[in-house]
Amino acid sequence: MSFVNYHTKEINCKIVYYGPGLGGKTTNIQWIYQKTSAGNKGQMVSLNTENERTLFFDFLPLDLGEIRGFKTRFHLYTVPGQVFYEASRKLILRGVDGLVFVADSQVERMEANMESLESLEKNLAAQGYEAGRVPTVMQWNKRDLPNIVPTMDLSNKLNPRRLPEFEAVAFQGEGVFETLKTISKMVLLNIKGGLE
Amino acid sequence: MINGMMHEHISQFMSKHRLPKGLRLFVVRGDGLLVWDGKPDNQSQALAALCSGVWEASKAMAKAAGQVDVKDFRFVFDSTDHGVLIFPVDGEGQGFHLAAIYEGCVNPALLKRQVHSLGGKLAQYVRQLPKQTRVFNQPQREGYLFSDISDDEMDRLFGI
Repeated sequence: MSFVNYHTKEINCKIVYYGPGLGGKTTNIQWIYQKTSAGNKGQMVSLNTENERTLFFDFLPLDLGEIRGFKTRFHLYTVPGQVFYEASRKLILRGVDGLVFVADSQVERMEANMESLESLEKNLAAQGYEAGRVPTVMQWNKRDLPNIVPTMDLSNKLNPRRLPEFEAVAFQGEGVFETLKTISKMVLLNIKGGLE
Repeated sequence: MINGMMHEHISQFMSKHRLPKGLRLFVVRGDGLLVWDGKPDNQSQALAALCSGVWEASKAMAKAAGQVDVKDFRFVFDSTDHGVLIFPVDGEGQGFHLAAIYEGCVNPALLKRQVHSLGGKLAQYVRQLPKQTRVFNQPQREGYLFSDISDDEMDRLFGI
């Protein structure tokens, strides 16, 4: 999706938050929405079920400042985490420029994390992407809970490629912007098309 | 707007056509990027993302029902006098959508026909534009836009 408009000097990129259900993807986006000044954000859209679970996607357009004269615009999406929304996840990955994998640190959610990661790789392949070529950041969320997996184990099991990883407590904003900043930088550095 | 030149061209095109009152029209790239909005506000980009999401979801449903070719399909979600319409527009090489949100419409059937016909004219107009201005996709260029970005630059981007 990344679109560089050389005429108006604008960059548009799509970042998708992926991960198991109830892992904190929407919470990440909500925190970003709350802490971003009104002038830098558009309307946030959440397509939820009646019990506030993501049904289709959350969407947040962020108009950040300029970088070397280019106005940057990031479109943040989350996928629905529940297993049976696989078709929606596939659609939302279309045109992705960067990924944040939000893992739930709780011991009992490790299997769900691994399943979700497998589904991500499968869905990326279905869209014609190679998982290793899409800029990706790992976020270990819910670090405030008592029954969590040590970060070393999370890294070993979920991050064999040693991608950048962040600990987070998304509902308190911990690690949220650090994650976003890192994936944004990786995405910007990955934009093809030099200046003429 | 994602493409200044396309935005100008489409503005020019729309200014030559009389649009029914109570109608909000916008043009969206297939992947949800907004190209043009007749009444831009802070909802514009969200509407564009929704338009593309609704279209892709509907297309997936149609395919599940055995419809492989959906180029003549349209999306209609309406009540008696208000609703949402999405028409695919073939811009030669790059598909995009003409979407309309309307309310207080006395004759919705006529309005649908008008929007459909406008989509056809828009596609024709876009195809007649010089190739270099007819870009919904970015031009192919060699290399990367940025060879490096410092942490300070990122901090400034995020207003830290």
